[in-house]
Amino acid sequence: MRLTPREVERLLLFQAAELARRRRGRGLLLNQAEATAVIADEVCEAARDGLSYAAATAHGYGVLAPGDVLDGVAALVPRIEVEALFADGSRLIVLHDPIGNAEPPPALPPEPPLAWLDGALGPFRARNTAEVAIGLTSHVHLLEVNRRLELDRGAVYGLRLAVAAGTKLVIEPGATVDLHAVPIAGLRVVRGHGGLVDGPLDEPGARERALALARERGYLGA
Amino acid sequence: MPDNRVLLGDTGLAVEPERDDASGIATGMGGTMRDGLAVRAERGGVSLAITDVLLLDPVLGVRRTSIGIADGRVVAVGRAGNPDTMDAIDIVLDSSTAVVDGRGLVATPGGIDSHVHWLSPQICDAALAGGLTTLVMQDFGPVWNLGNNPAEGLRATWAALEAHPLNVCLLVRASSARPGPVVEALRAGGGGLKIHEDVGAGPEQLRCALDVADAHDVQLAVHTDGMNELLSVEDTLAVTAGRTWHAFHVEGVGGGHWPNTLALAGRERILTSSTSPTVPFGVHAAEEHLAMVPAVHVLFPGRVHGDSAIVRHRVRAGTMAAEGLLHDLGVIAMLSSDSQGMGRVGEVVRRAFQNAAAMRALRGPGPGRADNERVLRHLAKVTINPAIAHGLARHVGSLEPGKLADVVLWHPHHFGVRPELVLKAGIAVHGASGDGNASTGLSEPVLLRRQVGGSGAAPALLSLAFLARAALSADLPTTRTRVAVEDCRDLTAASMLWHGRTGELRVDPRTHAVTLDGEALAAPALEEVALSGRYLLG
Repeated sequence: MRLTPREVERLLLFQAAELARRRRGRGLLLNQAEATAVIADEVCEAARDGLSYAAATAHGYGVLAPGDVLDGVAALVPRIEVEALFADGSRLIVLHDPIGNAEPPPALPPEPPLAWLDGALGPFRARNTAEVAIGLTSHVHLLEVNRRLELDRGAVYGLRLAVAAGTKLVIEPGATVDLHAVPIAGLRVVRGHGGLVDGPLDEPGARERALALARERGYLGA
Repeated sequence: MPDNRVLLGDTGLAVEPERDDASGIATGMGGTMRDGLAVRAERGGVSLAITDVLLLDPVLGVRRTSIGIADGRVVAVGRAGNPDTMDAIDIVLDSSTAVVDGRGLVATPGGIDSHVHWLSPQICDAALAGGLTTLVMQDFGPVWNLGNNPAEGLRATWAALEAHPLNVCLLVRASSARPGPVVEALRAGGGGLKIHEDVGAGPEQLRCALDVADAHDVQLAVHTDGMNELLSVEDTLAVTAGRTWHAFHVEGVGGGHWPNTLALAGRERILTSSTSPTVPFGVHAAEEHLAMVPAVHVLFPGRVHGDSAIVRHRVRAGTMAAEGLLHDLGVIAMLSSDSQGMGRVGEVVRRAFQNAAAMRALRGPGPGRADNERVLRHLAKVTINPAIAHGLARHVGSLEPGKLADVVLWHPHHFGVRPELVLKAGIAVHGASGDGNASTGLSEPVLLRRQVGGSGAAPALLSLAFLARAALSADLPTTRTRVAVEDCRDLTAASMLWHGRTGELRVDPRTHAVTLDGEALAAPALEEVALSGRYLLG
């Protein structure tokens, strides 16, 4: 056979799934490890049967229902990642709550509402003049973001986007958005970022130097 | 088909030797490997020889030949035997020489993966079983680092690597606006630098890292600022202008300026690589990445604002459709895995040849003898080019005399899928091996697994530690031979063997259509790839 380590792993998954199927055949409700193995194995076999990626993924949501597992087990399987071999090669399948959900959730769901932090300053109007989308995150010095974003740079000196860590604001090409911001906290030292301050924000002359450098480097709104 | 052509798996690719140095060494009963016949009784021969193999080498070409090995290094490639009884012998076999009979096998240099997140030690055996013998790595397990810093991490990593028969070069995290942490980590046991947007890929990090790379003669690998938050692709080009660096996953789904990080390819000073999941471009590639990008990059579409937008901008069928063509045209010079950080370490070599097969089917056979040129171009992407890019090429990347004898032997029917044997420094470290209790070595179940050189203390004995010159005498818990990374800073696209085409690459920001010097590049998505479903359990 000359099996690769990946194929040996596949056999381990099959063994666990087969054990679980045998137990299920005796009328037992499956536990977390058993349920995970059965679902993952069946997704792999769906790919071997020639199903498309979408169909194999959908199949994974139909393998077990909450009534097939021990009480509380559906919640213990929030996500399964498994690789299956399709005709176009190995592919990762990610199942989200595959016992609780009867079908796959959309890959690109609508964004939840953007929540600005309490006490945020603004609004500051920003227009993306680039041909590409610009994403802004929570802790970057707003003065120093992509120079193609037209923004009153002086007004956002020392500020960051007023969103929770991990939230992103993606501004599409040509779009205008109103931002809210909060002061950068801590010692108020900005190192790196766009390289316009690269030091203490509140040092005398720092703001003027940063804005002059921003103008020199073509930052819109400086 | 002429008799001397050899088909590689089910790729449709054929190779034909440009030169034949086979000397007819026969092992076994009644063979010629007997004292006084093809071997001589005095020492003076090589320690090890791989005899009469079909060698595919990005530097030496396609040759039926033998490889002579001493002290773990290739000493000669040519005709093997006993000069007392045979003509024109380049490699002397003596009565101590150990022989690997290469008849019926294909030999390639050990593969090199320049983009490995060492998130688990299981990666090592998957890599060996995929024909890799050298890894350029970051990380030490499932922690967020994107480098091997600091010194404590480097020491733990080198200690763990004692068990694994792979040459290793560790990248240190260079996402720092000040050189202090970067230089400290490099000196503590690094061999190159890595910038990643998840830890900072702004202008100050790029400038600082390039300065450190120049001062220490190491390579800088970069995953650019994907969201264009601080820099657009034009800005990254301006900040790095005139300086050499390695652009990781240049198609962009692996990360980097959306939607046009591919515009980094075709430039004089940027060495470019792809990662495995998008090469070759399959019908499920885009769909798969809608799942893979959030799984790897801690995104929660629908739950965290902005994450759906990120995934939508990052996954683009248009740029994926151009990537395989850019490989075949000699623009993108390397293929790597991005192992466990959006890629598959055991499929690097396989996917290179899956792409070669797809390109042959799409664009027709190339010029010259059989498919030699296309095969060697794709082989270069996973051997000599990453070696050159990362300063390893004095030791690995090809089987030229003087280099480490890291050789992968393949049965042509299983080429690119399952190696028969992986040799490091001439010693078998991994490969086909059966039931340990059986009366033969290949009784089922035959698995690809550790061989003698992969056991005990042998892995470190047979493997190199690639270090920055400043780290050669670092206090590290490794018994490996230490060698310096070198000659990384003056490289250009033309330094990449079988590659070097430059040109103006444009990505339409709305349609994601790709052009190279005005010519549209779009390959249809493949329904089926070679070297896969016909062989593998799944």
